[in-house]
Formats: sequence, C-alpha cells, structure tokens
Amino acid sequence: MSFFPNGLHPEPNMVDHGFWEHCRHQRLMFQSCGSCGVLRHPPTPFCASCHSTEVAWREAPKVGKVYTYTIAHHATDSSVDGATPYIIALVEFDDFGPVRLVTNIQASVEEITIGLPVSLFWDRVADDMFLPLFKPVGKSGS
Amino acid sequence: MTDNSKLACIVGVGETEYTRWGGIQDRSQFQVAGEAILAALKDANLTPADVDGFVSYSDDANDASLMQVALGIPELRWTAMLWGGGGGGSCGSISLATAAVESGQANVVVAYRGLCQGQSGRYGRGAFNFVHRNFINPFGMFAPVQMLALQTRRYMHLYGATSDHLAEIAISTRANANRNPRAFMYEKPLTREQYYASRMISDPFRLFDCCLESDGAAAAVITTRARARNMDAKRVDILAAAHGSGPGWGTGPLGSHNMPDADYASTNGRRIARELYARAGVTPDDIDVAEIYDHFTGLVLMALEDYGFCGRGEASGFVEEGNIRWQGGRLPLNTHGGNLSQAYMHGFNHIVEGVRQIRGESTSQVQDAKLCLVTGGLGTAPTSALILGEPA
Repeated sequence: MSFFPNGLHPEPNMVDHGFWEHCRHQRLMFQSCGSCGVLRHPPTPFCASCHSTEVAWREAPKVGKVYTYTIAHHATDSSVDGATPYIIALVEFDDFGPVRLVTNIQASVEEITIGLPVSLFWDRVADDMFLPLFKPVGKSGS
Repeated sequence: MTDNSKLACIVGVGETEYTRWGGIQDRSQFQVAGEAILAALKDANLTPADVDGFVSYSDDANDASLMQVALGIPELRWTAMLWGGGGGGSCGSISLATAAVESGQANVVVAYRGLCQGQSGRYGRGAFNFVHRNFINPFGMFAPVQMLALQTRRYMHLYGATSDHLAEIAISTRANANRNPRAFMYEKPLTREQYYASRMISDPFRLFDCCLESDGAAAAVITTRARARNMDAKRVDILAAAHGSGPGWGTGPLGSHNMPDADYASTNGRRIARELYARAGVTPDDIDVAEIYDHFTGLVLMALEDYGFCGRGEASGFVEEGNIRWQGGRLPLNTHGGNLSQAYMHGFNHIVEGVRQIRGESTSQVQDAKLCLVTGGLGTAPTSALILGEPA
C-alpha cells in the first residue's frame, strides 16, 4: 500500500520529466550542470552558475537528514482525507550540494526531529511511478 | 532644498465589507473590486474620470481594461501587474504606482485587490496551481499553511522560539481586532487557553496561527504630492516602496524549498528592508507602528528581525516583552487585526490601515504615529514593503 491511500503522483512536464523518469526506475537523481557540475533543484533549463543547458544527472546518497518538517493534522485536499496525521519533511544530503527534497517521512510523530538521519525507500504510487520517501535510519519495512 | 513635489503619496483608501469566504454571493468579485475602487476615489474626492492608471498583484482576476470600461474611464496610460502569488506584491503594487506617477507616465493610479475566495477557491484548500506542484502535491503538501510551517519549524529550531511566541502574535492581533468593528473577529476575544486548545493544523501552526479566508476588496489612490496639493484630500506620503527577491528563491516555500540555507528561515525581505530604509532616509527605530503581513504567525517573527526591529533570533524575546502590543508596546503591530483577525485581503487591508494610522483614524490609534512600515506577503518571491509618513 502506498503512503497515501489514493496514491498521489506527479504529472511530469517538459522541464521536470527527467527527474520523474529516474524515479520511475527507482533512482533519486538530481540535475547537475553538464559543463561545470553545480547541482540544482528543482529542474531548470539553465545552470545558474555558467548558463549551460547541458545536464548531467547525479544520484543522491541513500541516506539524508531532516532539515525541517511539519506534521499535517488537517487535510488540505480531499485526496488526503483520512491520511492525517502525516509528516512532510525537507531532506538534505551530506556532501551533495545545496539541493533539498520535499518528501514524507514514515515515522511516528513522536520520533520526528530536525537532524534525524533518514534512509530512502520507494513508494509505488502508480504502475509506472515511484516516489522517493524516507524513514528513520535502521528501521525496516516500508 | 530638495524638491519633493514629484514624489508619490496616497490620497484615498477604500474597502468593501469583509466577510468569511463565501460570504459575498450577491455580487461578482469584479463588482466588489469596482466598489472598493469607487470608495477609494470618493475618499480622495476624485471620480473615475481622474484615473489614468491601474495596478495590482498576485494575478488579481479583475482585469484593468475591463474595469476601465465598467467605470467609464476615458483613457488608461498605465496598467501593471506584479508577478508572484501569496500576497507578496501588495506593497509592490504601490511601488508600481509610485514609479508611474513619479515618472509622469500616469497622474492618478489606483492600486486594488479584489478577492472573493467563495467565488475563486479557498486558499486553505489548495486552490492554487503551483508552478512546482509536482515537487509538493504528491507528498501531501497542498496549502501555504504546510509550506510555511516547514520554514517556521526550522526557525524555531535555530533560535529557540516556542509556541508561546506564536501565541503572543495571535493574541495581541486579536485584541486589536476586538477594537475594530470592521474586523471579522471583532466580537471574539482570544485567550491563551483558547489558543492552546485550538486544533493543530500543520505543526507548529494551530488554528489561530492561521489567517482567515475572506471575501472583499480594497483599493488605494496614488498620485504626486504636487497634484495632491490641488486636491481636497487627506494626504499620506509614500517615503519608499520596494519589491524584489533574493537569490535562489524562485517559488521558495511555495515550491521545492531550495532557498539558500542562510536565508531559509527568513521572509526573503532582508534586502528590501535595507533598500527601503535607505531610500526613505529613516531607521527601524524611527518607525512608530507596523502592519506586517500575517498569513501565519511564524513569519511575523522573522519579519521583525528582517526589518530591523531586533537582531537575528531575537524576535521571540521582542514579542515576549510586550513590544508588539497596542498598549505600551514599542512597535504596535497589525492594529486593524491583520490577516489573522480582520480579514485576509492579501495584505491590502494592511496598506489601508497604515494610511489610517498616519491620518490618525485607526480604531487602535498609535499616539502621534508619524511613520508606518507595511509589508506584503512574507516568504514569497517577490515580497514587498513600504514606509508611509505624514505629509512633509
């Protein structure tokens, strides 16, 4: 069963389809500049540093840490009715540029804290789409 | 001596009634916006025939050219819409108007915001079609309350602010609303116990940390000080109005949250604050009263720091000492009741209140208020602010 009962999923567009194509194959890849190597997120057509349009995708570490979080107690869309409370977090990665990922943490509301080490797992939300979610390091199952 | 006659001022403000979302069903949002414009013009003793410019922000749906037809305006010489949502451009619309009248490209510009969430969609229910929705919606993040809760939790972690400090903003703002018959929460006091008993919406935000969802419209009339001298209108000077964004914000908290680490727990307003004070020739110590965009309490703490009323990480102590209270506070804050307790008019009601403070007409009047800081939406890109003052 997916993290959200209704299996929310992205609708890839011309700018971000590369990110989601990698997710489809359960690989968390971020855009980096094909010319100078600077990482960036969300996807954009240009490197903000050297303005190259060349892209080299780089795979993120499998472990990150919680930069900040919120616990959603109120359903702000009918698609998450009945799914509260759930944790939305911003995850950052050691030695992986400035990029951060908005994601969900599969953890109890008591254990979530800023700085918590979390490991990547993939949540199947459609036949051909997986979302990158996280759980506290050392926890099994998904 | 410097000739200030070509600089801008506000000569009229207008508002419709403010209701809960869905409360205005008998007229269209467009009509309501037009009513606010007419009210502001009446306040300035002007008519639509005097208007030659319209400005707005946050993709206001009440098209200026259609408004021209509806109100019978002979010629529009300047129309402009400030990019970006979240009310970030409220004061920015005034800076667009200021640019127009000070450069002579228009003589009388009306800035307005018409927002009936009952007709266009509730903001608390994810009514936006966010540019970077693919990176937020699949993770159950739909509404600004969740997005700004992420920023606020980080701020609290960095500087030790607690729910007590968020509560102080909600409660002091409510007390101001309780003095303002035009506030939605006029007859509803808020105690500390009620604050803590209110349900959690998106931790750390409880219900009373969140703004209202409203229907209504507001407007202001901008011209030059020289023209104002020949009008039968109460003049409030615009000392400076600015809008903009720091590097790397993009959609900021309304998107993937990849703002720079040094700026993350901020309103994106530090650069604007510096420019604003420099252009106005005043300092934060000179400001008598502030109307700071309060969509969520946490960002108000960040704004008190970003706009220089206290140092980085010191806002919790600043509010704890009673400094934002109307009675005895160093910086009375949101004297109309704000977005939290008057109405959510995308911050335009803060501009109207700033004008009233300088005119001496507020229901929570600050004695001898000579300078008022107003900000637009916080944590947005662009964000904006202005400083209003007595006629110089």
